[in-house]
Amino acid sequence: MSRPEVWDRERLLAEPLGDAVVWSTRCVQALVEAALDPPILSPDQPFPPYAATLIVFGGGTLMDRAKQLRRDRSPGLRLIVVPTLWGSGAEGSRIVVLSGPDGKTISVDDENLPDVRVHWPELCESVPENLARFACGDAWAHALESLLSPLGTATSREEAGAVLRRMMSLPLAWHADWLECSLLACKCQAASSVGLVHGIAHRLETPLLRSGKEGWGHARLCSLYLTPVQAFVRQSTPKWDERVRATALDPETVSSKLRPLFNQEDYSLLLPFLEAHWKEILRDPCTRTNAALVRPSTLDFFREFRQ
Amino acid sequence: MTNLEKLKSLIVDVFLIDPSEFRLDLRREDVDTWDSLGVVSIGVGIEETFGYHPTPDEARALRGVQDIVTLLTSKGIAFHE
Repeated sequence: MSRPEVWDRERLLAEPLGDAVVWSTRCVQALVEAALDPPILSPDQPFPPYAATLIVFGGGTLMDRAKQLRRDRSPGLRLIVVPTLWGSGAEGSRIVVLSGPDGKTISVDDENLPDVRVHWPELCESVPENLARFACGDAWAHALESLLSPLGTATSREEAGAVLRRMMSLPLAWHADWLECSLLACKCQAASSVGLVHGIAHRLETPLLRSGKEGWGHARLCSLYLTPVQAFVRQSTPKWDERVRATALDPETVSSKLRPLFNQEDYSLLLPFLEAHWKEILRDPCTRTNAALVRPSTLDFFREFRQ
Repeated sequence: MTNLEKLKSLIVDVFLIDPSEFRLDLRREDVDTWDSLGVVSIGVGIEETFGYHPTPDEARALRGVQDIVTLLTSKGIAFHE
């Protein structure tokens, strides 16, 4: 059987879960508590040795933390994930982005795949409007950077094009199709690579958190930098336009679609962090597979960028 | 800017080395950032700078700066200015 197995809500509620524990994001905790028997633990608590199954209700960060726990400390643990936010595609991904003292590292391994992915879209309905927009930006970044990746193949570009066409018809807000689209976008990037948007997000998230700037997670950073990075790539190479056109989409229409994800005030606020961490961004593996070459002098483009 | 100057600027920027480290006999093993991702970046950079897109096999076969010169010369891009 291919992993992850897909269950619906009814199957999760009917299945004997054995010695299970639950990690849950706060916004659905009451609902989870009412629906499931296993205890809800904080991910910061010591993981109980008796637990044979971990059920995770959350987004990419919490799911990646669970994958890391299983990989490092509890091999054999059955991992059931229930996405409450779309965008990362972590529920079906063999990629784990790990936070460490030196920032983010990436692990790509089939062993990272959850055992079960539960489709329970109603849990996403209560996501706040701004988080929903960032989640959409995350999925857009995966699909677009995959389409443009120099490591892409004809097949991966065709798949990225198919998901981009679907995403064009979706709002930058919750829609039931986002769960599948973001999963497909994540698979596209796993098949090729991502680029500078992810290089920036991976290198800024930890410093921003350390400096006390709350709420600057991966999806928000990807959303913010999609438009400026797109502008940089478009001025450096005709590939952006050529590859978007090859998917039967109009480059200007795609640009317009992404524009609401950009916020000039946020961009200006983060510019000193971009400048301070530019050397690390240049060395980030994602940056190094960007569609356009990112040079030390590219920072000047971002200093001057205005929408 | 001559093609050699363009190549020097590219090598310095892709592999993040000091300009003084650039030389025509610089080899892949001399540069710690000339790894598999460096191969991808140099392919992208060659295309942007010289308008020639190396195939993945060509990019992987580049073992040093001289190999890049040889490849580009074979595509009609001159370095003897």
